[in-house]
Amino acid sequence: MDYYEMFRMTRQDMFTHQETTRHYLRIRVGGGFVCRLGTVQVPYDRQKRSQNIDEKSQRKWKLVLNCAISECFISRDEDQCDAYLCSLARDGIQALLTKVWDLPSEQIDNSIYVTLPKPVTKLPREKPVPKGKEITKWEQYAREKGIKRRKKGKKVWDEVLKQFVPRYGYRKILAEKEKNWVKEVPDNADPYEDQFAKAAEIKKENIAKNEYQRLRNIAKHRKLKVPNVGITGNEYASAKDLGLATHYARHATASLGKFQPDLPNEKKVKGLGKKRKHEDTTGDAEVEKKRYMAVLEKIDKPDLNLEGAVHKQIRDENVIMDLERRGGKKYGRRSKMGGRHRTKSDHRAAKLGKGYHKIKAKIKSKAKFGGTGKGGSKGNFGDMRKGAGKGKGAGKGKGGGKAKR
Amino acid sequence: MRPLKNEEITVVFSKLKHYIGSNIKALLERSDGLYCFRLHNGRVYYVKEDIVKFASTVPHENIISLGVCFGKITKGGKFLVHITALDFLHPYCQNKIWMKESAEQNFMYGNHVYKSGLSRISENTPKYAGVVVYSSKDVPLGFGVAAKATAECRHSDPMDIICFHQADIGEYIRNEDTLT
Repeated sequence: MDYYEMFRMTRQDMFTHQETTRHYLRIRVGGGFVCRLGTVQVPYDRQKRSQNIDEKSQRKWKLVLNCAISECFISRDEDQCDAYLCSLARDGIQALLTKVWDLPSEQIDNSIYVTLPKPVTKLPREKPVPKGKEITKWEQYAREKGIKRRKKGKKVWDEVLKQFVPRYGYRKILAEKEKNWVKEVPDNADPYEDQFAKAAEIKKENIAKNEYQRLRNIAKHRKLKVPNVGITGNEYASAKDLGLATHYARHATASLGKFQPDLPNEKKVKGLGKKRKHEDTTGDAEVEKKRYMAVLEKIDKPDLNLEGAVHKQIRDENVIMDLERRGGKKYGRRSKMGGRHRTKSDHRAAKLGKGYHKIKAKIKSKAKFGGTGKGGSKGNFGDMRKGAGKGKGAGKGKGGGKAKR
Repeated sequence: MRPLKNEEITVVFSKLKHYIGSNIKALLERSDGLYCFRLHNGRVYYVKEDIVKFASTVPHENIISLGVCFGKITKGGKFLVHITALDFLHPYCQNKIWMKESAEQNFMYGNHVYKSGLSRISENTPKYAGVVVYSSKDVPLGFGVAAKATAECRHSDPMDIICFHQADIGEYIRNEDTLT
């Protein structure tokens, strides 16, 4: 029904997303879209309608649907509160009904009808207002210096060729080739340097630099972080590119990647790392000949390495003898090396099946049978073997047998 | 075109040793200049050093051959001797086989040497030794591998194979396209 209410609200303005605290006085008159003026029961002062409303005292009334909304400061004075609010209410209703009367009305069956305008529901923005495009470094600079963009034509007059040449494209390259069929070597340059290659290299560098700056601008616009040095990651990088990136990352350590541990499932990329170098085609022929001779010598060598075999045999027997002499035990109760077979000779002895425990067993057996058995036969040759030269040792059956391998 | 690596040279020399034995040194130490081996498109070429320097100025895709092609190194790393090496190898060859006139044609068509076609064989030829095949007029016809040692040859059947065919001069016509 008819009522007025006052309330305070802190809200975010839907349109500008700004927060404000406002006092509201809401007056509601009637209900429904079509308001039959005849049934309004609020004391409506027809006289006041024709009066000029005082501009100063007129408050802004927002008329939404059937509400008249006004923002105003309301004093907290108790005495005047009620009467003040009443007057406010009346003003509000007045403003509302003024508007209603201003609308085109029609008379049907002795009643005056007014069609209220359709409510326009302004939906608030879902997202904040977009910020304008950021200007690039070049644009900023151009603005400062006052450089303006000039429209360039497609063709350019070439003095040398005496014709119009396109500014870009296939025909431009052809024209350049015609013009630059020869290049002077400057005085201070290396005579064997390829000037054409040098020029091509410079051009490549320029293109790469341009591309890098373009991408940097894009990254800046999208607020991505781009490193100054190294390879930038790309979501759609191929496996090969990623491999390359990991390769460089791995090598960017103090030890140049030598002691860099692998990741759990890391696969090494093929084709990276040091390229194997072949010898020079037109290198020193004398050196090459020496190389051939060396290879020839190797081929001419016989297959049997008699010397090596003999040395090996002598060493093995020395190791075993040593072990037996010690009684199979090198260290005291607390082993310095912390366990079994720690030295080279121990390893060798173990390989020959003559380890610490086996020696122990043998010594026990020796004691039992009084010096006969396996250990005994070895003992006879002991002195001879230790000091024996290559020939002597090999002379006995053992040396020859080993060499056959 | 590149020089051969040590592994490749080993393979080449081992094969050549079958035919010319210890005379490989004679190939390297020549009075008329320094000779070297070069690898190009899988083929081993025996070239003089100056010619190599000239050849290095030519783009490698345009080089077909240089010097003398001794043979080729297969993908599996083995070295096969080609007929083009005959002129350089036959003077140093240790084991030789001479053929009868009637059997010469047969060998030059790519067939093996049978006892019936054999005229002479050098003494002390071990079994499976590398051999150069000559005609009765002492014209070198090609390479082979002795299937039987000299002693065995004397007591073998006329239809027994004495020498396996490796290369013959008939290839110059038959394999004209592939020889370089």
